[in-house]
Amino acid sequence: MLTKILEIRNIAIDTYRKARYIINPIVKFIIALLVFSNLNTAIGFDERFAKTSIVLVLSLISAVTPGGVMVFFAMALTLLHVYNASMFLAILILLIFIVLYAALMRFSNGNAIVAVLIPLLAPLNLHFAVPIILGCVATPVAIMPCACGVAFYYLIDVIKNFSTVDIGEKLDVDILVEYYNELLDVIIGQKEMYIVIVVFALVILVVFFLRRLPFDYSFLISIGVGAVVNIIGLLVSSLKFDILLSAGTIIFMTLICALIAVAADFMKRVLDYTAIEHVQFEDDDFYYYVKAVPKIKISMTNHNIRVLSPGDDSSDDEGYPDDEDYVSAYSEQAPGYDLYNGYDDRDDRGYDDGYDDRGDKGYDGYEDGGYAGSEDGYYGDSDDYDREDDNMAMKYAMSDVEADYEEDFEDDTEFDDKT
Amino acid sequence: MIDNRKVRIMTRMSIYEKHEGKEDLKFNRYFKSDYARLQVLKTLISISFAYVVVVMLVVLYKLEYFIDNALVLDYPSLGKMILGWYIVVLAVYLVGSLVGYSLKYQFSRKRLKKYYSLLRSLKDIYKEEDSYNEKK
Repeated sequence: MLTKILEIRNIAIDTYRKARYIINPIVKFIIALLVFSNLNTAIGFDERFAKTSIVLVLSLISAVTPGGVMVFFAMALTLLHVYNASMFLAILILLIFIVLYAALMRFSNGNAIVAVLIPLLAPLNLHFAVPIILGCVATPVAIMPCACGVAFYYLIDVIKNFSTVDIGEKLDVDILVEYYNELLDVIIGQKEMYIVIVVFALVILVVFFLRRLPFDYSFLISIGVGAVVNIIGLLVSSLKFDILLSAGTIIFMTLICALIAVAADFMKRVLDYTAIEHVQFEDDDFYYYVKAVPKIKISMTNHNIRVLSPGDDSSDDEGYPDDEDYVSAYSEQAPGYDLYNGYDDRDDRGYDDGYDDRGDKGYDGYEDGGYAGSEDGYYGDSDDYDREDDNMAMKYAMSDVEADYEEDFEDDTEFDDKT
Repeated sequence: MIDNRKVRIMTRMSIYEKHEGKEDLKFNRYFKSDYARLQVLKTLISISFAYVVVVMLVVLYKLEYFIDNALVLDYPSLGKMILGWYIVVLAVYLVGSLVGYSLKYQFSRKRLKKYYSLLRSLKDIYKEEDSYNEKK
């Protein structure tokens, strides 16, 4: 079963690393399509902008541009729809959007897409996964776009209710003031919104800081604690204030979201620096079109694989590594642990930047004078590999137990350069 | 003749330039203090603007109260309150952005250091090549 899962995972990783440049825009396109369609369903007052062609064009543009563009389109589309229903409301919403941008979205730091993901996932209560994942992959600054997303979600609800209020053709100041007061009363009175913003911020902080602590399984524990904080935070608030979510929904959906976060975090760690890179550069003599295939160096989380066969003597202790050596060689040390180098070259943001830290000279530090050895994380010929002593035991173990993995770790590296 | 060592280093540099390097090389135009100051200034402007909009929305919200009590309102204390909140909000954002952007700059310097070390290695190879050619 576990072997099957590992096989499936390897296929998934392989497919992704080969087709990342196609898969990423497609995923973004689907997200954008869902975001804009949802907006049109919720507040599609202006039929001109609710057309499928408009949605498709916006989604296509969003698919190939940074996440901030999708957020901008979502906000613009909201304003256009609201303008059709009530000009006065549109002006107010515009002012609120300006405040949200200046105070929150400006600091999104590459996580802007969160601001539209939360409104998209919130009706399914899957938005609890967002702060947990952000705690894993981003910095605490992600609290800002997260808060913006929550505000955006509740704002859409308010718009839905208020766009139907008739304020008449003539813009009477008294009616406008009354309308405005009611609107702000509703926005200010959204206790659930503030609670969710605070709880999500706490979750991001807890997951972020726990994850950095140097103990085993920190990433799993941080996600677990994050889920607990989410459950307790929302339950306590729902007891104290009258919010709509039921206790069962909060607990059940948070647990589901924690599982999603584990999967997402794992995929992020594995896939981020395993994608095949195509780069172009030149020197005095040549133009280079290089395809760089990174060596897969995935750390596995204590998979206790034991291959048992009839007559297998598990007490075999003749210096030849048995299954357990293999298991220990694959045991996870820490995210980013490099099986070959045996040390972690993650930068301070907590992830492996794909480049190793082998001294300031930039050489690989070996006597043979090679500048970039095969084990340096990105590419290289396996011929260069000469750290026999350090890895002998592991090599034996690998060749003995799982020839497939050996292929992955040693031979799966090609370095093509076409000139 | 293609030199594999050169290709490896250049590939690595090129991959970096394609991803994080894009932003890092932009940061490199500034000293740390200049970069942090510039970002703090941008934050100051955006937060001031947001605060003005919020104050405007609040004044509109309480318009009735303000009109009713226009003559008896304690304007100096009202002004002090608005200013006080402005200073508090601004202080939080400015300190936050100063710390945040300084850290961001620091991380980018670390990555750039690796980049420059690769550049040096490349230079060494060129030197090696030159001396080899001279001998010939």
